[in-house]
Amino acid sequence: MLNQITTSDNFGIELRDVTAQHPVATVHAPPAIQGLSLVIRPGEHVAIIGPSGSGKTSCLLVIAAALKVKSGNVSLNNQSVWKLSARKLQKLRGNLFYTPQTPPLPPRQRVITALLAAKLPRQSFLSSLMSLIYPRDIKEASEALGKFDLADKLWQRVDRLSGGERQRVGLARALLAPAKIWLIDEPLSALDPTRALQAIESLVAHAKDQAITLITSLHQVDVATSQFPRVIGLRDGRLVFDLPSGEVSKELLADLYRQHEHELDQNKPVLLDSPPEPAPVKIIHCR
Amino acid sequence: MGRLFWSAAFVVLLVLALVATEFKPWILLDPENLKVSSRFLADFFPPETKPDFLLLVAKEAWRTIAIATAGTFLALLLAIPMTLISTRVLSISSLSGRMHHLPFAVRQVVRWVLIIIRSIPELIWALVFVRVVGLGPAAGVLAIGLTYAGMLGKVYTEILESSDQHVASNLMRNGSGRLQAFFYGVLPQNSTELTSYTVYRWECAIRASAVLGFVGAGGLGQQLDNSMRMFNGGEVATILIVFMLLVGLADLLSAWLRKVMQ
Repeated sequence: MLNQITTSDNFGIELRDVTAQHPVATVHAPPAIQGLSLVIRPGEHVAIIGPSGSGKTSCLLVIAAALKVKSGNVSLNNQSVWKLSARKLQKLRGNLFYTPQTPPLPPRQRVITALLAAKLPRQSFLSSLMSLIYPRDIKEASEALGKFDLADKLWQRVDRLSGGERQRVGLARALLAPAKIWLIDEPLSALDPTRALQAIESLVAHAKDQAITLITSLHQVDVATSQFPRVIGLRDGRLVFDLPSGEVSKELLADLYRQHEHELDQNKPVLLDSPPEPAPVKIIHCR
Repeated sequence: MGRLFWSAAFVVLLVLALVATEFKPWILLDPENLKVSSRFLADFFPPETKPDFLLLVAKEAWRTIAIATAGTFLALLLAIPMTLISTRVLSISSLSGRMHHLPFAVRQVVRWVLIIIRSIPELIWALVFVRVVGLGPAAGVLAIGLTYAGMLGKVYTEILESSDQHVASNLMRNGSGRLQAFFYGVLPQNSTELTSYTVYRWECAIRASAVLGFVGAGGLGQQLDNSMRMFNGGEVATILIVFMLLVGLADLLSAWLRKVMQ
């Protein structure tokens, strides 16, 4: 059953005229995504940009089969996602790796356990229990952390990490996930520009190596255009442009961020490669 | 205006409640009653310390701990699966909008089972089981097990649902199973709260076993009943002191466990 999904080639993504609403939104709120159509081929690397509230996260959630669409069709691997049975959908989700902006790491857990949690979809329940007692794949986890300069934190507890370290642990999880598609929401929000560049390069390199489709939403326009061959601009839940990054002009960006210029300006110092400015630190709440 | 009205209404209700419960604390100070109660309390001193009585109390205290522990364990056996079934946190269908009808119905049924078994006081269960399995600790264990399963199940579910759910939902969104999400996402965040509530329930079980002893379910309670009937204040005092020690012990255990798990 598992093989049926994994061996049958690609994992292309197709959104046709999708409208979706965030589950916590009020009934009368405008949909987070409106009439969105997209085709993303397997192995493509795509960055989604746009001002806050433009629907970047919702777009990722729709592709992650996490947000049910109100209308339109989402298909992954040539299967219409919302027509699958619950069991098949859950199996399909094992091929996706969605990670939210605030990494889902339990505060009292060790980093190693939080990392290995990414491998759960392909593990039997028993072996995942055993791994809680004595972690398997320690080497793999440590290598993944090393790519983000955190190898020494492997046995630390999550709540001893800083916000930026936590975010990088969240990204290192992706390297361990048995996924064909990565959906990464704002991977750089708590990182300073140097770390951000290193993190995104590690992700891109691994994705290329494993032929993983990489889709991220980004606030850093310069990172989007320099690291990703394809850039999608969203505004008010609608597609504004979907272009090779070389064709994303200043005018297009200015238009995309109209009335949100400060979000675009924030990235200017990095664009010009001037001395790094500390990125706005996101407070990660933990209980 | 509304606040004034509700405050007045509350006072009226309180007065009515006091009348209904024949609450007249001044009777305690009535000279005749004072004499009786002071005689009863004076009896408590000195507590009984005869070695053979102490040995008996120690044996019964051990039995009480055994009843409480076995009862709590039985309650856990019932409560854990019911919690896992009834908690919304581990619902896969509610990951993307509303929960499906069948899982929703199953959760409701389990919730009602929990309500039913905990709404019957352990004393009533004990009276039932004393008739079924006869006088002795087994009836106490069964009574505590059933009632406490209902309480533990309810509170566990509430603890899980009031916790941060985004770790578990993220794991399930990425294709993990429910139980995997429980062990990797839910338990690490809630283990201390769950443990300290369980130890608190164990403490309650120790106290409950005192009451159950009165209906013949064994342990310290039965001994307490005997001593009370004999109007032996010294023995009663010793047994009460042992109860206090047991409850204090439970408190220490809970604090220690929480510290270890931090």
